[in-house]
Amino acid sequence: MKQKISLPRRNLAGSPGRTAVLVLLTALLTMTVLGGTLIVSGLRKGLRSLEGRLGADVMVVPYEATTQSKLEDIVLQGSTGYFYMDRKLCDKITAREGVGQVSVQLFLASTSSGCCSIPVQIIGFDPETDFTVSPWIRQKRSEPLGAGDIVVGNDLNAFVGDTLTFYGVECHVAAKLDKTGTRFDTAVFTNLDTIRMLIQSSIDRKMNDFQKLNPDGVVSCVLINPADGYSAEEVVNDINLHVKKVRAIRTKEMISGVSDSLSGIASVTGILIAAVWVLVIIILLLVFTMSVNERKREFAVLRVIGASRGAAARCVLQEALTVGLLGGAAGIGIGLLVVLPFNSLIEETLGLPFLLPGGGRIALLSGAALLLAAIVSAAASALSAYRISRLDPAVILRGDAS
Amino acid sequence: MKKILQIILLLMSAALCAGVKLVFHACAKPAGGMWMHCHDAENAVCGIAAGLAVLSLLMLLIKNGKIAGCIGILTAAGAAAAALVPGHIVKMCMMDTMRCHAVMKPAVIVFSVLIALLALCCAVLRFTEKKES
Amino acid sequence: MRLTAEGISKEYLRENAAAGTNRFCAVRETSLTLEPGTVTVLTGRSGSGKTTLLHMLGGLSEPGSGRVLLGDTDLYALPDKQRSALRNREFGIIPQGQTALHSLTAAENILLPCYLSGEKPDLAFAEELMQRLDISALRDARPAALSGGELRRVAIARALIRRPSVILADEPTGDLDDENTKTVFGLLKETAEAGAAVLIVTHETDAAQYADRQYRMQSGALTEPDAP
Repeated sequence: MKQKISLPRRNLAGSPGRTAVLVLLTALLTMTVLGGTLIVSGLRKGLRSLEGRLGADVMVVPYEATTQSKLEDIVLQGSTGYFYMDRKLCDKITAREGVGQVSVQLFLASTSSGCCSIPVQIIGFDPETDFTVSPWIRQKRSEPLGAGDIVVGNDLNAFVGDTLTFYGVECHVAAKLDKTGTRFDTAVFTNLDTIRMLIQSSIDRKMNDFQKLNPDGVVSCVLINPADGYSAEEVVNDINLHVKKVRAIRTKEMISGVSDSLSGIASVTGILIAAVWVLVIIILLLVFTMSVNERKREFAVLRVIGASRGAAARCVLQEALTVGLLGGAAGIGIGLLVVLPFNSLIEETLGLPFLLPGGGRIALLSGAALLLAAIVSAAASALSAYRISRLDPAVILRGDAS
Repeated sequence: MKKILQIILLLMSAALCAGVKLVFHACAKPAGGMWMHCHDAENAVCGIAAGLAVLSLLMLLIKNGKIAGCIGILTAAGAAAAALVPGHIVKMCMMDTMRCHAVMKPAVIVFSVLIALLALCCAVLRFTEKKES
Repeated sequence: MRLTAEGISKEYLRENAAAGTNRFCAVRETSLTLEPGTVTVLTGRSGSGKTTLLHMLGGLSEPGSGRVLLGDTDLYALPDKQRSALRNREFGIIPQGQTALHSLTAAENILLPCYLSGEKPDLAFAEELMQRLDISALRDARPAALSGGELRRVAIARALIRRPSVILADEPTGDLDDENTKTVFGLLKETAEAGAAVLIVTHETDAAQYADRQYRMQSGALTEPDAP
């Protein structure tokens, strides 16, 4: 015989089937809330990261690049591709009114890197003029990149000191960037000299689509920040009007497209979460009401033995709270077990920049989800608890007796 | 309850063994190319999972609680090893966005963690069971 | 402690398909005193108001008029929390029918009043009660595994476990065989001799031999059996 027992806990253990259903429901609720919130905030963070990484307000690319209709894919997602324009065009662009900071980049896609035949986007930048990539490369490496040095994105399984071979040229990994949740995670960065060497090697091996190319005379894109007093829109319009064979794009415009689809995803997720909520709350309400109705006589007995109205109601609330906490913890466990390991897959499936929040924030969101589960189940049982507190033990116990 | 948990453990080990080959397998063999590193990881996980299935079957069949408990702990250790195979014990592909990283690795981790937890639960239950008189 | 009912009565609203809602008088104005150390037996036909009277005496159902005093304390003047605590401490109520909590074992059901009060349960006394009532072997059984008679005896042990000063038993021997009926009446008599005021509502004619006072309930009115 025990000195003490917890009646709510014993009641839950006494009906394992009912308790399991209730715990499962609250777990489902917590999982959808936490999973949905993590995905939406991951998308937001990814987008912010992309905004921070784009660096230039205006991007000028050869006209053919835009006809491939893949430009957005290349800028926003990890699709690989390369295109070139004459260097002289770059001088024309630089000479336009309103053009402030200017830097050029050269692109190349590898066909083979290390073990896997997956193309990697190689981006060559000019360390002298660059204002987009250098600032965040400098966070990892302060010395300038030498010939054959590369900086790899976070998703590439190469580490500082490794050697990667592109088109027969051995490149030395000088730094590895932090995760950004954008296309830059799967890219390789290097200076213009090295990328020209790689392009030449790809031409020599007849593995480049542009076989007659002179790597020294071309660039892939020109990145521009407008001069003071000019807007990006003015610069874009001016270049598109006066410089042939190129197309100027406002990078922010591309992001706003992503922003729109993001708010779409956020609202769909919101609606889904709300639907699950309403459903779960209704079911919880029904199950609690049924389970308490079924045990009316037991609660009447408790009152006879000396439980006050408040104590009887507290017993119902405590049962609900225990269910909420158990289900909440299970839901958080399952939710994190799905979202955290599978975040690369989620990123791939969504096709949008995706960067999971940091550990502290995930812990905070999990705590909030647990609290929510507890509050929702307590609220769903509140009506039953109130009815139990109002119950007249004499009426219940008399039944059909006098 | 004990029996049900052990049967679930057996089913999950079998599911990991079959799943890593059929559902959440590693990167496909490129046309005309060679198998990639991740294929070795896939085979290793499949082999370990087959071992786990055999161990959990043994645990289910063995009457002696102490021996069965030890097998449960061995199963948990094996599952932990399976979780470490992709990426840690066996090298995988170049990019985190590739199938072996995005699909196989997390699925193997999730399955292995669940199997390890379940195996520990079963081990505790078997260790603490009373001798049938 | 003495339990006194001063002019208590109770009316219920009854739904009637033909006549609509009408008032029904369950207990007419009644006065009654349960003295410590005595067994009072209350008999009467079904529907005569016995259970309603017992509930009013136990602080479970507020009377329409009059008051119930435990010693000098007016039960229904107390707020619910205090009245409930008083019921836990001073009253042992054995309701009709099956009243065990299904998630607890027989022993835990018996100790439930102690668990509720938060005071340390008297395990030795629980053991003694179970032995007296011949349910020691069932201590770890769940109510679902017990017979009606066994559940009655669990309810009786539960009512006695806190050594209350008032015991209100509603058909305590309803499901019991002759031998167990004797044991239960004997136990209630002993409890009265130890100082408790005991009221037994029953159909059993054997109860008379344990009674210090007897009443009869007829259509909501209390009469002494010998009274004209």
